[in-house]
Amino acid sequence: MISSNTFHVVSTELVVGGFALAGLAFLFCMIAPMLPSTFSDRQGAGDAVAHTALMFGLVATPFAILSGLSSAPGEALNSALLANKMLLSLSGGGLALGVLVARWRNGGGVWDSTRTRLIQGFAGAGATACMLLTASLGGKFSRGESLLDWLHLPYNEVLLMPTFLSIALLLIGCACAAVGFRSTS
Amino acid sequence: MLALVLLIASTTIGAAEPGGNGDGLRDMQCGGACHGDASQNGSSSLSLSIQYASQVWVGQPTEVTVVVSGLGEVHDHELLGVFLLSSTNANGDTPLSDGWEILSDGHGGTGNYVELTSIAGSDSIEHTWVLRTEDLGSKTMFASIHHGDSAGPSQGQPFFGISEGYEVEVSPLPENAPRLSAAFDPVSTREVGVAIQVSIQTEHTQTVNVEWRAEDGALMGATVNTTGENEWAFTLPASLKPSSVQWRATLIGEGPEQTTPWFTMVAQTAPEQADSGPIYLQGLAMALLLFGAVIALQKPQRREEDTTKVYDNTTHIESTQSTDQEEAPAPLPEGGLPPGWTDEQWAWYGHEYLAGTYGGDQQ
Repeated sequence: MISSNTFHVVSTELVVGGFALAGLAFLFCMIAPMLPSTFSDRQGAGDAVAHTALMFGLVATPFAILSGLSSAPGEALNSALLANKMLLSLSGGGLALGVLVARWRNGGGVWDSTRTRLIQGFAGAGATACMLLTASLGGKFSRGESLLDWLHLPYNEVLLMPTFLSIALLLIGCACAAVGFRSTS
Repeated sequence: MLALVLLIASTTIGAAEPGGNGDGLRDMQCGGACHGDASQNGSSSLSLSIQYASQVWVGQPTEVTVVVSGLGEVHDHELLGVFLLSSTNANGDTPLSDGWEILSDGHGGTGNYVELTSIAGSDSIEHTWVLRTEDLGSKTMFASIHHGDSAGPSQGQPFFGISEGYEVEVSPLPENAPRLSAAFDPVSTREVGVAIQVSIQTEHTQTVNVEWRAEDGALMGATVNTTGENEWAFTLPASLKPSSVQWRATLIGEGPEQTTPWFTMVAQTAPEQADSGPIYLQGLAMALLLFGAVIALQKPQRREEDTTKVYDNTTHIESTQSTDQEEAPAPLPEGGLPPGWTDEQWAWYGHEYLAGTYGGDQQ
């Protein structure tokens, strides 16, 4: 049997690989209109790579979260680093799912106007940033160092909201999703 | 591509776990967990030695001190991983495998591996464990070290070193000597801000004196009370911050007086017990909020070109074109209608006649 630690390493590598590729492709799609036609003509390929890689990373994310929880020493979330990992990975997952659903509903037209292009690009790149930060926290937790140490991020502090505020955000999120899924305007 | 090259160029080869791996009970190569591959290790130039107490009695706690010297001469150290071993097998080589019990690692734990931070300006560092064995006779121990180099040409390279074997003779205690009971198990941790009562179980003991010292080294005495036959207790005052104090007892009885090793008591802040529920709820809320925000902002819009097509197909535009033609017939030529033409024909085809394109004829 494979241990949860090893499975966590495998699944996080899949997540980080998928999201990193998606992040680069999203950045490319965002700036494609400003590039020479040699590059801007490739926007369709960039769109396909961005969303396919994002979907791949998103599918692997639950496995990484679950294996991470079972491989953590002691009880789950007994460390600020682990709590931050959980919050960041769920945020990145929500953002990525929103990006994929938006692409599915709008088709390639999501890149046609400046407004939708920026929203799609920044949301996709933001999901990537959340996941890479999560991976960086994992390195800090297990090895004591990470690639982003130079940013001096407050890894050991958790921005924990009161429960009522979490519930309020949950309801706002549901309302936003309901508005978005209503008939087209 | 350039970013990837820069990242690879900025890494150092082979120095795994530069932030340390934490104190614990580990074999000599820690199963590869400290330095990824033992074959990558360089030979450390640090000197290692072991110091024992003058007498090691069977069944009684004894101090074992590892001294690391030569710091700063060749390597620039920050973190040192120090092992106390019973052999160099690299497997099953902790003191436990040779009949020792580790009562204290000096850091509040009971492992054979501790991580020490070197002191600037000092060329040596020492660390003491408290062990106990029930075996009589000769025993051998080794000290081992793992470290990296934080500067210079070998920066980041992992190093490994091991001492020669240091032999110790475990002797039987004189029959009537005062001693700690086999049931005695020293408490090694407590919470910050909490005074703790330490219990001592003894044998053949009439009086117990306890002295303790804080990290500044000042010696203080403690009041020892009897709590039962051969049972004693004293109180260590609360610590205001994470720190350690050491205490030792002098046991007085009919036999020769015995002094225990220094036992370390570490005061640490207890980790906050956070309820996982609110964290999961907050994570779910943030995920749903971000998902909903993207969906709402990227709501599909009707396209302008679709609207234009609707108007292109209306009969209103066709009607306007024909009305224009009916309301503006071509002016009659000077001689009136051409021969054979009716007024209706002129209304429809008069323009073409004047342009000379009607029926392909030239006027």
